[in-house]
Amino acid sequence: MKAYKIKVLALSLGILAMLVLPDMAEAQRMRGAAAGRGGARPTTTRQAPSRAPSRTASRPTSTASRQTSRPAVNKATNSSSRPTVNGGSSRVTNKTTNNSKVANVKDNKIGNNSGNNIGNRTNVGNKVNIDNSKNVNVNVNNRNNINVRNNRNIGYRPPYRPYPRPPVIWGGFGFSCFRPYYYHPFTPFYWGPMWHPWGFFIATLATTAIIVSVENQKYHYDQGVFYEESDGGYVVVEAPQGATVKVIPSDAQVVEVSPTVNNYYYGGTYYEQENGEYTVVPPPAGATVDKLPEGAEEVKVGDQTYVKYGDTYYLPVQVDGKDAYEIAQVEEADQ
Amino acid sequence: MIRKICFGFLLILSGHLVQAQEKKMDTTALMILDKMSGMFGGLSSVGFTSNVSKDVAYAEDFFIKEFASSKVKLVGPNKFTVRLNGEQKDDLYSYNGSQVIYYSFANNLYTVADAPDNLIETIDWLYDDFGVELTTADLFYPTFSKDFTDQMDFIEFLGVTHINGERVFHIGAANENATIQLWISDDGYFLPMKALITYLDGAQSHQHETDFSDWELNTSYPESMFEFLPPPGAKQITWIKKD
Repeated sequence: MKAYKIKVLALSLGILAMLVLPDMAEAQRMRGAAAGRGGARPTTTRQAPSRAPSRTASRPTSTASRQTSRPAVNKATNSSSRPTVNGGSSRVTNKTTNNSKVANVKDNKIGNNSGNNIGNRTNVGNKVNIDNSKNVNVNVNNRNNINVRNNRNIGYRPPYRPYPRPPVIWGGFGFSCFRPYYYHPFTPFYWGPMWHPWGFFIATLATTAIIVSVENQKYHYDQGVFYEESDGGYVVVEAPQGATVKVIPSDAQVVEVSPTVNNYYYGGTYYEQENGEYTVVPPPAGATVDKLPEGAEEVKVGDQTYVKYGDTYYLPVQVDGKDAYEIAQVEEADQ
Repeated sequence: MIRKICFGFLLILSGHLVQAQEKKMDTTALMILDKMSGMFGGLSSVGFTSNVSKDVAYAEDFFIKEFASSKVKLVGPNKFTVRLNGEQKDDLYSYNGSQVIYYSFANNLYTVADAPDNLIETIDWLYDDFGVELTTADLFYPTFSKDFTDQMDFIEFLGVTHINGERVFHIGAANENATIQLWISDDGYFLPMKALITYLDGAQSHQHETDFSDWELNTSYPESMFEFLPPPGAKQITWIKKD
């Protein structure tokens, strides 16, 4: 009986060995062949070992996958109703829907396409000393109907000298600049943690903030930024032209308006100094600045791409080899 | 009173008569233009390359020559793609039947505008609203030969000549603002091979010359050719239209 059990065991082992060994034998044969080839031809030794294992490993699986997956693919292709070469490809990228974005020359809504979200997109506020417990990055425009733009502001003031060339006419408006167009991509500039773009909501103001009144409208001013009170907090608004403040940030840039007049530029706002005070003035056409804030947007006008901030068009130019923006004069063309 | 009215009519009529007498239309030339226009009218799609050279005012009394090349594919009734290369230009205009997209390869910027639903209206709309003039689009207008005869005072068949070894018909036309020469192939398709416009309305005359090549007629272009996928990092900007 014991001998019979051993026989059965031996037989089972034999069957198992017969089933398993051919695979092993094949594997050994392939490796052997590769090694042999490699030995015979030293120049190919590097490639041979790497090729052989991959073949032995992949072959059985590839045959298996052929049997299972191929027919499935073929079926899908053949059953497709599209009368194309391969029945239509499967995509790895999404078909995007492109939204139309068109405006007129004097359209105020350009900034508002993205303007409503200015506060939400920037997290500048989280880095600085404002109250994070209140919803800092709320969508101010939608909730409070505060117009961050100032309707009384004008887009530019004319240059002190005439333009050498006739304006480029577009949609009933003439665009004039002194310098030639030189495109460079627009990247918004941040003037530090105390500067915020239009529409930005802040819960509390710093103690250095002062109150400024312009045409019966009350503004709060702090370090180059104007705020309006709204919904228990303050919203950053366009600097009202005519507002006068005693201090502007020390990193305000000097902008040459004419050989005798300089303005100061900070955060997209121009200031003129008089009697130790700084008054917000319209952007001086013909002058150049090298930084524009968030809220500015590139727009295609004919063959040129301007950057529009508020009602002001800036032409990308170069000044002494450096990228800059020239304030364009955009006036109604004589018909 | 009646005499006055009669005199008025006479004046109006004589004006027309003078104008009519100034026009000179060669029937051979008109037949060739009609053949070309009729051939375009019967196409479902057309593709071609155009090479343009034009005089551009550089300074007073000084024109410089600028060159541009376009690869155009038009599919009726409402698709086109135009790849434009030229002086500091590397652009694509693409129309999928509902939107026109402009893409600048040089600046990786694009604009999108909802467009009319057919080619001819879209080409007009692009020119009127955005100042985009597609290469000699006039040739593809269904009313080309009629518009051409309306606008020109003089149209004449100038004979047969050869361009790049191919036999072509040479047609000349003129009005007070410009002279136009067209070379149209004599191969049964009546395709334009060359168009030369000399503008006479400025202080100096200047030319606009277009060479057409690589014509593809009734080729079936895949839909995907007219779909625009913004490349990674491409920025959509606002397109300012003329009011």
